[in-house]
Amino acid sequence: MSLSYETNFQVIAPAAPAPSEAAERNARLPHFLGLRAAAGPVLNTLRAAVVGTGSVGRNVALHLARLHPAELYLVDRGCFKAESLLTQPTGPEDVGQPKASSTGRFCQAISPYTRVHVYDGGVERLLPTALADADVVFLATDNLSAEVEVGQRCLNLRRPLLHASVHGETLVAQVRCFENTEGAGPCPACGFGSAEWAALSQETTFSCEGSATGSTAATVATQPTLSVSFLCSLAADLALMQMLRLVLGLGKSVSDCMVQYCGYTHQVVVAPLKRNAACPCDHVAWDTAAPPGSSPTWTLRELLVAAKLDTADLTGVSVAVDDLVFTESGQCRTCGTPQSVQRFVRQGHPAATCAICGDAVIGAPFFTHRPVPAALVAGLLDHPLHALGAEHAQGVVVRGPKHTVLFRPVAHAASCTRR
Amino acid sequence: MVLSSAPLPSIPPGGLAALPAVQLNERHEALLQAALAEAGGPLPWRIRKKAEARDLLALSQLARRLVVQQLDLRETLRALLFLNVSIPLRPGGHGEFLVGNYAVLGLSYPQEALCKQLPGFAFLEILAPEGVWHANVGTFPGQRLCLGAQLPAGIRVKELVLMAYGALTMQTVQIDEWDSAGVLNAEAALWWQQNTARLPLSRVPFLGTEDLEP
Repeated sequence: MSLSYETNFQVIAPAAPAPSEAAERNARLPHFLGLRAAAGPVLNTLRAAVVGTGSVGRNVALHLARLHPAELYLVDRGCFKAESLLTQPTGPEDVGQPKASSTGRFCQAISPYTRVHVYDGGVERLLPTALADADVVFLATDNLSAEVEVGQRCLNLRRPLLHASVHGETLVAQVRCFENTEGAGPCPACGFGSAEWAALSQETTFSCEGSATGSTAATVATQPTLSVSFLCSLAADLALMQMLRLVLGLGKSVSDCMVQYCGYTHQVVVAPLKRNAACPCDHVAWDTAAPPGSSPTWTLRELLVAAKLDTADLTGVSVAVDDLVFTESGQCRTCGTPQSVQRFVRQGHPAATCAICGDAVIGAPFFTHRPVPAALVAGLLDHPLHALGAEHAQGVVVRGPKHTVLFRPVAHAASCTRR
Repeated sequence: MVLSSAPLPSIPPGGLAALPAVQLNERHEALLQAALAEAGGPLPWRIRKKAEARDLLALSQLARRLVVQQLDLRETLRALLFLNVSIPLRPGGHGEFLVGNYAVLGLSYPQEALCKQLPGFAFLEILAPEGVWHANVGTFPGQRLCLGAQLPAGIRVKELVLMAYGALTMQTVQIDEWDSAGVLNAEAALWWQQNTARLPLSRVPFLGTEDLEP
């Protein structure tokens, strides 16, 4: 697999150029009732992300692959176990394999036309802008922390989110569609009650071994999905149905609504999703803009001006660059000399070189910021980002009193072989 | 640092849950308003920071041992706290064991703490004194204080301060050096296992004054 350094994803290289005998999607694609424009061009350029490629998510990914989209992004921290065969469309040969990579290879084999990106890790480890290129995001995880994380990212990035889940005991399959065109809409956490927040607070156990590097070595304890395989696939089927209606504009709007099927009663319920005013998540949708000039030469002042902010009054203004922290000062790990740093640094990595002994200076935790108040870096506004430690900035979030702007370079090149 | 010698206000009915009912004094009100004037972030987060900061200031009014020296609400809620507390010290990690009587704490409470679990060491750093000898206090970078392997999402700032007091006085402590969940200094953990007779360093509750100079 080739490494895409811009994000944490790895790209699965096609085994061979698209074979001439590969099936054309249109050979089986119906002309849907009420379709206003041709489906082909929409699906040809579709970029979809799937977070969680287990009993529900793997089905989602495989369905997506059969639509021959432009790009697929697959994320999962886990590996297949023997028990996975009970609920997931896998075979014995997949046991022990990372779920995202395994699913990605399968998807690539189904659709040589699709550029498949995989990440075998937790979604919280991805760069904040990792899902920004997806036209739609599917969420099919088994843990509440990931629901909050993905919900937050999609809300900020204005990405439509389809959350598919099951409740095995009651034979219920549910799909919630969050439109996310504005921050005022609902997110998955809006539906959390005290039981969900209590359960979320029990999910993750952190190891203090990570404190020296600032990393967060953690164990996520989740309940495995207790369901039958066909209920899981039904949830995936419903999710794809909603996605198709969303991207092709079929039938009534599916935005900000839930559809739920119960196998006991064979009833389907469609209900609206509402924003919870007490939701603790950050209900702010970011505007997206191309940065002024090319990445290494951006200055903070140029970005603030491009965000239509007054650089003379930095009250309520902050900046975040990718997953970097801004370190005001640190301490040499050998001679212990405190010294000024004033740079963006990857958390836990050396922030500077000691002026006394030449060893690494590590940022002082209390004097490390993310996001950094603009007032704190007022003296650095005219320094290009590459001079401040952010040589490979992929996304800069500038937050002002009334709006937030994400600056990103122009989108990546188009995927391989198009028909 | 001169701790207040003014008569303590009485604890409101409802105890620490009723901190919002405490009337802030002039100094604290000025500190809060100055910080609010520069507060950033979306409105719900600014409202929450105001509530948390106000509770912190009210707590320091009820507890003579706590002084809020600085308050920063621009992005992450940050505060510089002076805490009169029995604290274990061993300069250089091998010097004579001492019990200090104060700590300067750097408190950081980011917006993501509202809806996510954060590591126990994410919130507090002991800026002074140096040489803290404690199983749950790191040595580098900075003297991070770990408050546990599992803290709930949305934990309140006042709870963090109270937990810090309990941890530093060693009324609550994790010293199993084989359990990496809460131990930041394995050497100190081992030492304390062999010196449990010294635990706790103080039995005075957070609001108590018996260990404070008159």
